[in-house]
Amino acid sequence: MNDRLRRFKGLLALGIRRQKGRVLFLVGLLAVLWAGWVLFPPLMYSSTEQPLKFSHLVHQGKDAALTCNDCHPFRPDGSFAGIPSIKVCADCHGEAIGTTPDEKRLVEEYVTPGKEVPWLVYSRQPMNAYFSHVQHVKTAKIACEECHGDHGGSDELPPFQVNRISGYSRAIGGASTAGKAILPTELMRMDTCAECHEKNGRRSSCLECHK
Amino acid sequence: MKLTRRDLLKLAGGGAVGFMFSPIPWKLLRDSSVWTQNWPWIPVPARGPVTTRLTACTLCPAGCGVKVRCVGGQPVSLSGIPNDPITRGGLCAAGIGAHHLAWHPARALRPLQRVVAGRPGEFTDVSHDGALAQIASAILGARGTVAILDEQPGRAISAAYREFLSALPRGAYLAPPAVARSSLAVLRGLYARDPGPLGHDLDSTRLIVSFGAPVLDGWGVPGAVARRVADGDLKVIQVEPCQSATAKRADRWIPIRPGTEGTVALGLAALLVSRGMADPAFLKGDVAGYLDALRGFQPAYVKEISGVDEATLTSIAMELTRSTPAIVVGGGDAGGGPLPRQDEVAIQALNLVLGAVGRKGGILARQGGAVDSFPGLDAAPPPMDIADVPDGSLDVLILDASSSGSALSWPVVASKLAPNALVVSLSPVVADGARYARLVLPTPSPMTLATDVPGHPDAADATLRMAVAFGTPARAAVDPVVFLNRLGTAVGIVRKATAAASMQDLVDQRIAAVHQAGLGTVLGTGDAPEVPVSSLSGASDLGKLLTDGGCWRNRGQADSPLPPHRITAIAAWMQPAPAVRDGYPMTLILTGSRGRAVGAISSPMLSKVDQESGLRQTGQMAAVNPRTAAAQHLVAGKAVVVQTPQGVLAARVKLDPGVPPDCVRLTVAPLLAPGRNDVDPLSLCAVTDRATWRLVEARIREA
Repeated sequence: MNDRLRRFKGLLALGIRRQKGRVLFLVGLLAVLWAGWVLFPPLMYSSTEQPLKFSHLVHQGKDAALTCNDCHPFRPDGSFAGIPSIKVCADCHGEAIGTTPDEKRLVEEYVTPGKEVPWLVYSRQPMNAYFSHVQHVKTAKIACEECHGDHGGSDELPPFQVNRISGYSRAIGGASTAGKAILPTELMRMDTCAECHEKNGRRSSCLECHK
Repeated sequence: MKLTRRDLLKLAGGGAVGFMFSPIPWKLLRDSSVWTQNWPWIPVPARGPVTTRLTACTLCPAGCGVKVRCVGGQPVSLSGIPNDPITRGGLCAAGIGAHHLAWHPARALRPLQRVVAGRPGEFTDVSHDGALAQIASAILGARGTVAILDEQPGRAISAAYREFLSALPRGAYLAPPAVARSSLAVLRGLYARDPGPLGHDLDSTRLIVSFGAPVLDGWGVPGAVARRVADGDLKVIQVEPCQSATAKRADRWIPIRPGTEGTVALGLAALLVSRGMADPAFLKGDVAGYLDALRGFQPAYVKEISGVDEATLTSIAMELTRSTPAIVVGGGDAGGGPLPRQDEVAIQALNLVLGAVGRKGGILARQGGAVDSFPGLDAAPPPMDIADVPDGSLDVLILDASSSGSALSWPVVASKLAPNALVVSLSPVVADGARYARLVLPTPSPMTLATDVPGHPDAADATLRMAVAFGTPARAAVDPVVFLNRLGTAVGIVRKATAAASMQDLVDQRIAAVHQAGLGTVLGTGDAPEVPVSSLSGASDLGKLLTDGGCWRNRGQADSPLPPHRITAIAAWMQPAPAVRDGYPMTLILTGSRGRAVGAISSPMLSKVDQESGLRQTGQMAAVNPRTAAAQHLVAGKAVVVQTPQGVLAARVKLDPGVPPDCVRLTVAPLLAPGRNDVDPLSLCAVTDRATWRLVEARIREA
């Protein structure tokens, strides 16, 4: 066994010596590919934790049994309310219902003084992009999960990641590093929109979204 | 194992290849490009509530209704109002980008003074007070005429201009030929006495025969015409030499030889009269001379001159009598200059032959009331055609920044200026006439000044809307009313009828006058009921309705009595075939889309969407017929020089079978880089026949 191992090592060393150039080329190639695909992407983004821990799962679960529309409704004029205001939270959390420290902070720091929670919005689009929730949800009957993934079923909020150069949220900033969504929050990019429109035969002009 | 230099190079080579297949360069490139769009000095709308407001477009006289989507009170997108009763949801491309103009790179940020002996567009700074002192001094010392050129007469500020000028010993209120000599102004001249304002009643018209007018490319109230054509309610026959955007979309395009519009119109009239298809009421007028002249326009002659054969002529005549109500419109292409007066007379006489005047769906008496006049200024004369001003007679000329939508060649204006005349431009941008002015005083950009918007003056239904101010004007911008007040103080003129502290104040006076007259109704959008003005308790109620997007309208009158018509202008109708000038074997034809056929500015979005993508040509594309190109050995895309006796323009060849043989077509469009290397195609044209610049002799050669 040892002989075989020694012979293998010998042959390997011989091969490396003979193919030293090719091996070094391969090493350089693999090292940079690893750095580019593994090390580099996380460096591109800065992470910030949300001001409070929040569980969509708890709110959707048996006890609260809320639907998306209960906290993220459409206004009477058809526009989308987006992140709920503190008044919506105060409807249930005028006083703490549970025992978690974050709920306590919610009540003390935000509900009682009537201050809005400075949530960091993953899906906030740039100013040059126009997106109508009512067109997609009401008219096209697209489920919230199609674009937001299982965000509503998550037990905790992921960190808010911002591209250090462009300043855009990771969820919306152009094509993802791999060309496909890696994180569940990377579903709100222009490529995703274009792909879905193409698939559904809904070809749009530039000005439809970039007004 | 020893690493040699060659080994390190191989390691680096592998790294370089890996680098290209890693996301590092591509991600950095992409993110950096996004970063460049978010530099701190690039203005971005503030985060805020998304709201929608209705207003009116001020870019051309059509005055279309506009739906404005605002974020944090700042406009971010414009569109037509889908259920607008006048425009039917239409809004042209220029209107869609109106909110970009406040950020245009060519905007005037401070008062400017032309560098002595500098090129057009070369300016130095001057103070507001310094500029005002120069203007006042020039007006007080003027021995010739002091004039204001207003391309959108009929606004409240226009009334202030007129009153100011009427207080001067030699004041002249001017308009460009496209406005002062419009088709309907010519038609008014065919009556024994002035019938008053006339307008097209297009709601029930079934056929338009257009002699070069861009009926489907921004003409009149663009949305109203386009929607009726799209619905199949309105047919269009386009008679013109080149296959324009309208000719492409019209039901029929009748190509003619350049400059023969009048001949074709007279040929049609001769056919209608000879076959007993003329309106009997027309024949009762003073038209003996006209009918005599028509005898010369037999089909054979018309074919010889225009190239239109008898069968085509007959088919148009049959269509005109079958598809009633029908109208005939002239005016010509927005970039090509107005039609010669004799051609317009021939075209408008056709409307009388058809009996289209005074008939619903034809041409009606317009009942503008307080919108077509201003209280206390009823007796003021209409604007004078700048072409009628004696050459070299203007000592001071103030250019208002409004646009008629059609091109105005600067040589037309320049020929009227006295030596050392002072030209002042009140303009938000340094473009178009402002480039040639000695002083430029910045005025608020479109959408940053509340003003009245009277609808299209050639529409039978008089309308009035309000343009709402979004945001504040640039710091150096001066309200035109404030400018006029300060100038009045400096030269000792006190306006009484139009005395106002600001534009808003002046507009409020007009609204009060409309309310007091009690005519017309206010149209809301959608299901909102039509509100008679007489039912409103106060002018403030009317003002609120208009500010909220309502549109005041007073219908044209079909049964209004008209004076007897008289057609006497028959001289020079018979025309020989145009002679070819030595060395210039071709004819230059200029075209342009309405609203953008000016050497002015355009939203950068529009230059991306249509000019850079080739949807619309710029002046740098010379379109020629493939047969002409073959004969002259011109190849598509090749660099050429278009030369006329007035100048040269470098261009690239474009082959277009829609251009007549032996002609070259250039497009008048907003310059991509005003004041730099772009040459305005209008500068190639000689101004002839009272400010007309059609049919210029030209030649084309390889660059």
